[in-house]
Amino acid sequence: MRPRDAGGALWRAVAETARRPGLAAALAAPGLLSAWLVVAPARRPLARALDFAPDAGAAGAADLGLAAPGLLAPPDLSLLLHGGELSDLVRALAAHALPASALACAALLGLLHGPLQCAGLDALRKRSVGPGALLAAAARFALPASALSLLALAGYALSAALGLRLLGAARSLAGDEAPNALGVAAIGSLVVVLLFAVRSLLDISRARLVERGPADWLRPALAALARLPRLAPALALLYVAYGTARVLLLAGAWSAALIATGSWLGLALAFAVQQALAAAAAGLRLARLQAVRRLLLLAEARSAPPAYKVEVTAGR
Amino acid sequence: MHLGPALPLATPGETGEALLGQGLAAYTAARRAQERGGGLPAGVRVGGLALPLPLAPLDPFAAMRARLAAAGPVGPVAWAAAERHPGAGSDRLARDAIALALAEIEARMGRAEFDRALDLLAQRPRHGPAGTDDLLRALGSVTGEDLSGLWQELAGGAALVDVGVVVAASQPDPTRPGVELGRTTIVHRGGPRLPLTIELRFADGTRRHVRWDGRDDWLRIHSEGPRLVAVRLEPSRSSPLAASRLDDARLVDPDPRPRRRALQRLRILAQLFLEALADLA
Repeated sequence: MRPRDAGGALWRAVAETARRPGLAAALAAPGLLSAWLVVAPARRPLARALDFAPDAGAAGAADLGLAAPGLLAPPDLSLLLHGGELSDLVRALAAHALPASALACAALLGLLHGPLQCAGLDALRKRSVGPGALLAAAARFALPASALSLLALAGYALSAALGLRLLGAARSLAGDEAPNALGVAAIGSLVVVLLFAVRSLLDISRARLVERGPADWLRPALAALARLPRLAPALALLYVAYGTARVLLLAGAWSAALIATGSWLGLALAFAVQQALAAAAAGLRLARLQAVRRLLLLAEARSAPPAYKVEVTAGR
Repeated sequence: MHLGPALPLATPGETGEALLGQGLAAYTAARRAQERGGGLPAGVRVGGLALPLPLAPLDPFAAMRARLAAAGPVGPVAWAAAERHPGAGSDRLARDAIALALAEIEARMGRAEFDRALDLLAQRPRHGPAGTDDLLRALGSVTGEDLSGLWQELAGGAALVDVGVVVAASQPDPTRPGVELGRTTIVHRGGPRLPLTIELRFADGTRRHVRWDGRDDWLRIHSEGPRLVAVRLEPSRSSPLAASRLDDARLVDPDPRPRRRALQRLRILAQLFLEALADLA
């Protein structure tokens, strides 16, 4: 698998997704809904703290978290995250700011992401249209896609826990001195490889799930995993390209929030820009999945035995 | 606003001298970092690992204030932590409180005069660690005032000053057309009782200053004349010991723009965070 294959697959997938803006918007919708749900409880304390405070956007806002316990606002992050010394305060504020019901709704909406991505890939593959078809497909993929998402989350957590455990062991071995830099780099590399493996397994399984349907996808997915070593370089390149584009989109959305004034027009413009960028990010995520699917098909096509048969018979 | 725990800082004898020495060192280090434009690097600690974050460094005095504020229970997690480790970090809090008290005196005296007092303290003839008496003598010889009352107030407990404007209202006088009756209430909720200046801003652009010695629990101000627009405590400076700057000033008519902007930032932050989770799973 050559780097050109990864670039070509991603480029084609991006072009396909760009032709379906409605699909990208539908995929971004759960994120928007969850954000509104999570932030809704903060409205009243924010009004209490800010409505009568002059120049609240400048000096006073830096004290928001301290002035209104139970509220974690962006201007305070720089105050609260410094040195990790205030992590207890951050946790306490987060516990206040996110009531259980809002958090549960957000988690449920978060679980929609997996099935929706599978449904989006299905819609791209079949060129189907309409929100009804998308929702029907999401319902069809709901169980296996959610299970895959949870397994992937468990995989990430295990990888990170293993890395931290190894790091702790390295530190205890080193005693008072700093642990060996080479050892720390090796542990870091191991964690990155594990995270990459989890990510790749998730994407390959999802691609197979969409192609074969929820009834018969597990065996083909397991068979496709055998191709992971061959696919790995192309997938790594794909993920790096995706990650870079994603960071740029995130930075754009956050910059729009910082630039926005408090007037209705400013807020509406910033909202439009942010949601366009969020939809672009959701589209990009779908394009990445489509590119993984294409790479998988390409790898299978290249390693398959030739579809033709040549029989040479000679005689005199 | 929750205040920090009351710690006896004005302890005479060796403990008090040691605390004062530590507080002076903390103040000097924080001011040096502040003047260099630096401070605590931003980051989070995960599993013993300090991960840097791309944020501006934190003003050391702001960190001290945050630590003092965080020492008061702010929620179930903090209460549980306080029960598990009673008294943990109280030395540090005491040091922070003295450093902030020194910063408060510096803000009231002016930096140049405060530095002169510190020079005098460093050149005192007595050997051994500096005591509270030495500090007050040095400060008094520069200002010509007895600051022992202020020091007693500041060092009486490691608490932030919690004074806020709770009412700022204005309504037309029914008997005199064109005249507005303004009403302001300022409350001292806790912490040291320090004298402060209150500024009243009126619709015609004029400003009126009222001096309050801070001894009472509350102060009510009635005004007549143009419409009252805003009330602000200590307009010329911000107190390093202030528990919150948000209630240091109050508008008569609400302005929803900062709230809208903060809400939108919160929403996009939450959305970006949830999208990042969706990226993972």
